Amino acid sequence: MLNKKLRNAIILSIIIFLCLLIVTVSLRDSDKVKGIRAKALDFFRPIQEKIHSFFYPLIKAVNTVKDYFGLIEKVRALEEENSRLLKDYSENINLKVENNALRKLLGVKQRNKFDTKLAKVIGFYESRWQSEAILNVGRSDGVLEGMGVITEKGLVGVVILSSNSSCRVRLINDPQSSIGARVLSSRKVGMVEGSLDKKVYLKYIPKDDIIFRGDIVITSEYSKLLPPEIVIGRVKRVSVSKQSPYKEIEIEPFVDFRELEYVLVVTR
Amino acid sequence: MRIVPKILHFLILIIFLILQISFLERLELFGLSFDLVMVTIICISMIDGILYGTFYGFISGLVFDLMLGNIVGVTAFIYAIDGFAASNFVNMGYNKRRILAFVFVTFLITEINLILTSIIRYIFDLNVNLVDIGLELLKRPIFNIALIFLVYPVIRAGSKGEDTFEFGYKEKD
Repeated sequence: MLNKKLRNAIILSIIIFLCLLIVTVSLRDSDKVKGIRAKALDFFRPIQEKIHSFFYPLIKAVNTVKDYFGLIEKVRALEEENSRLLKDYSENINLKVENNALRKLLGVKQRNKFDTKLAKVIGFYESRWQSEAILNVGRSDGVLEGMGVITEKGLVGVVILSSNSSCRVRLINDPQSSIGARVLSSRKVGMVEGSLDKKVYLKYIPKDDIIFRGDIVITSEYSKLLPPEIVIGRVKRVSVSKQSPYKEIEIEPFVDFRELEYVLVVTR
Repeated sequence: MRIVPKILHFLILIIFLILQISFLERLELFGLSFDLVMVTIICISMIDGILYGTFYGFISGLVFDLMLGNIVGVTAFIYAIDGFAASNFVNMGYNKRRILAFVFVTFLITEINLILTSIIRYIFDLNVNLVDIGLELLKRPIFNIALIFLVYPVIRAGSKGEDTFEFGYKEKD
């Protein structure tokens, strides 16, 4: 009995020591650990991709059932949005033609288009402290750390680790995510950050600035790798508190992270 | 001691880990999510004993850390403790009431897992909201408890009755 207890104590001590050693090494020598992480991602990619493909119809079916209950509300909101967008459409075309003509006249550079690489989401992990996805593209496809990931709806996140054939993406609702952003209508600049409750906030907008519910938030032009003017989300709630010099602005992202299937990595 | 079932259990654990990352994380229902890996480690601890429970917990945690973790070694530590504690709870006498043992052990290990994770995150300077953790302590074990009744037979199927912990309805105390 004593022998058994002693053996258990030794096992636990060894495991704790090993874990402390690994944590220390990973914090001190992050480059080496990054290499090992990239290799682990490459190693598990084939089986991960197979499992994902096999179960994806089930994920889709469950999500469809969940969506069904909010369908009437969703359709009504979409109809409203559609009529508003139709009204804006012809005006926008006129503005675009006018804008291009004026840019030409003034010698201002036209907006740059960016290159993208199509990728499939093969992994997804969301906990209180983390929101990440794994894509089936990596360094061999020209995908590097820091590159932005988008869908047709808007910004998804940023690549944080790229291995040879896959990569990890930090989603914008991850508590460690921080992205330069701009309010489309007022042109105010702030930072879009994730949080522990998985909500997305626009931070560092002074109390005196006017921000409306429904304002669109886009990426700012101050990021090296993320292209500007990619839509992030819509302002959902604006509040002020006496303790903070800034407004508390909650953003509703346009992208539903749980339903991601294919994304685009902005490679240039 | 047969080694083949142990290797089989390890392979099942790794497949379940990938299944968790690729599939289960997206199936969040009513704000509740599963932890298939933790539940599998509990089952392995019950069947194969403390050594395998702890060691497999450590290895699966390490694989998870390498694939998705923020700090390598943290999940390895938490899962190893889960495996160690699960086996200890069984040895402490929870195996007297078998079906209840599954519920209690899973409940306790889920709570230990969450508390440990919160403490470690707090040490590494990530914000911890006590109200949210309190809510999670209440709701997280629910699906894990349901899941253990599905996972246990799968793990046990590979052990050919060599486990240290029999399924409840087989025999009376």
